[in-house]
Amino acid sequence: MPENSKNPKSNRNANRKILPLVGYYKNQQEEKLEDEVLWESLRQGSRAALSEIFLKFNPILINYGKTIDRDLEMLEDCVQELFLCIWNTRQKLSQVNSVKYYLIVSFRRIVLKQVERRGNFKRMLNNIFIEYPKFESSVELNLVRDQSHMELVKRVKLAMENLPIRQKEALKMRYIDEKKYIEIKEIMDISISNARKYVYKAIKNLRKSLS
Amino acid sequence: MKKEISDLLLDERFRNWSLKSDLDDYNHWEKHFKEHPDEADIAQKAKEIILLVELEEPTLPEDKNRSSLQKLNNTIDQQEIEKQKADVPGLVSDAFYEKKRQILSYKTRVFIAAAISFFIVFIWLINSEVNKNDGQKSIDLVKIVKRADYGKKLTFVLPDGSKVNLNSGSELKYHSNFADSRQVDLIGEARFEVVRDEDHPFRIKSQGVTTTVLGTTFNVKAYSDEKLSVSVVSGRVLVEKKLEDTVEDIILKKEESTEFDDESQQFRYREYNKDELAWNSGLLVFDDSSLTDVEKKLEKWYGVQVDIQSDVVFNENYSGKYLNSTLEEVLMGMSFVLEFEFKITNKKVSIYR
Repeated sequence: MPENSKNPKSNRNANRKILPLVGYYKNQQEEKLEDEVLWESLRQGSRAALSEIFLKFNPILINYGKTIDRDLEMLEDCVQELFLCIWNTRQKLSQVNSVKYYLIVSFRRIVLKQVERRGNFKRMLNNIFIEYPKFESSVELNLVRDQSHMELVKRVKLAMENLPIRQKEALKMRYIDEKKYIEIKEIMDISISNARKYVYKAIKNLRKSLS
Repeated sequence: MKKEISDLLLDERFRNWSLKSDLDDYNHWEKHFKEHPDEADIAQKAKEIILLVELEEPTLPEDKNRSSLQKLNNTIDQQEIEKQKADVPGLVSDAFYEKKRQILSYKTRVFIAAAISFFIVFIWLINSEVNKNDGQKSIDLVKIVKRADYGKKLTFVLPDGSKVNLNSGSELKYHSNFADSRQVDLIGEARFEVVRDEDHPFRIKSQGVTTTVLGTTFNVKAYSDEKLSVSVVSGRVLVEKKLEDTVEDIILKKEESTEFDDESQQFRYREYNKDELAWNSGLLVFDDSSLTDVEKKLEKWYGVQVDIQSDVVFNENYSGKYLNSTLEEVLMGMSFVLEFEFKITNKKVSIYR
């Protein structure tokens, strides 16, 4: 189950700011020309051009990224990764038909990769917790035949111990005891959204310390 | 041929179909989807993305946008520093001269020939105050100082993404809240590539003159011992100097240059000279230079102390150009034409007859 609940569609449309279509197509040609000049400057190694391109397209990319995943911090990291990569490979860049869509497509690829990685991580955690329900029991651990898998389990266990108390509690309840959020809320005496947040942060911290 | 969302997004004609902005493209793709109904699903997804990107206005706050940019620029700067540490050390180390000396003889011949055949006439007036560079001013905690010592140059990026090349013996100061008010103080010479931000004009203060910029590439020369001059490579610049009860100003366009004339207290147009501005590409130019000019230029460029004996006199002022040359190469070129001998010991040069 996703940690971040998506906004119901009706809410989203209420917040949309619509750009006027009138006069839009007149500007399209000028905009394309400007982008071409910036892109060429970038290929020649202009830091200023890189900055201008960033300022222009970062908001658009983030706005689009939110439709894939609402994790803003992750989206920002993806933008950084995208532009760093573009800067480092600037000499190998070819001329593009549309700078905007080149960036969008590249950004999308990076974001989807991140999302998949995180999905994989959660699946891995799930597997570990399912296979070793009594996580603390060393007897269970000794049953592991695969050496490398045991290493991973040990690392996960260590990383868990280093989590802030409430995050650790929430995570254990959710994954090991397989409690529903409503039950966690009762036991820890917090709101459901806070319970979700603790679990979410716990997974995030685990992923960071294990990567 | 199986299509992916990214293929559709990159196809301009498909985008036109999504936005209904071109009749031919619209018909073309309508026909395509009739023939390939299995692609309709993926097309719908791609169309939604295009509509979102073109019609919805992003709501990212401006300051958040700029702070993300700053983060990117810091990362790149850090990367550059790491790379430079791995490279061979900079201009003035002895190791560098060692390396160059190996190919000296060929280059020397080339430059001697160049020095004889080159005589360029500029309108270059140099104030002969022997004021040496001011000692470093006291630095507030809030101010950031970037400095290129004699013999070195420095290239760096300001928090807003604007790029600065500092020439030898130059210093640039700015506040840590640069993003709110883009203002710098310059001593010496610098070349700027300014990122456009119409809400925050970029201002350079130097020798009492303010140069205001919107987004352009230009050069400001404001050494304490030379006449102040500003040259514009591209874009537009406003140069102002406050006098007692008025403001003297001039607007420079592409390939124009100005200098401030102390006698008339006015800005004058002067000849725009590309070579003058090529110092950041390693071009050292002597243009109708007197003995003192040569001495000062060498000291700044190479970071050495130059001592000229009193029996050395120039019959004519010296003109010549040197590209990415060592001190020894330049002196050899000059000595031949100007008839002197020289000796380099460590960071000291002595010129004699």
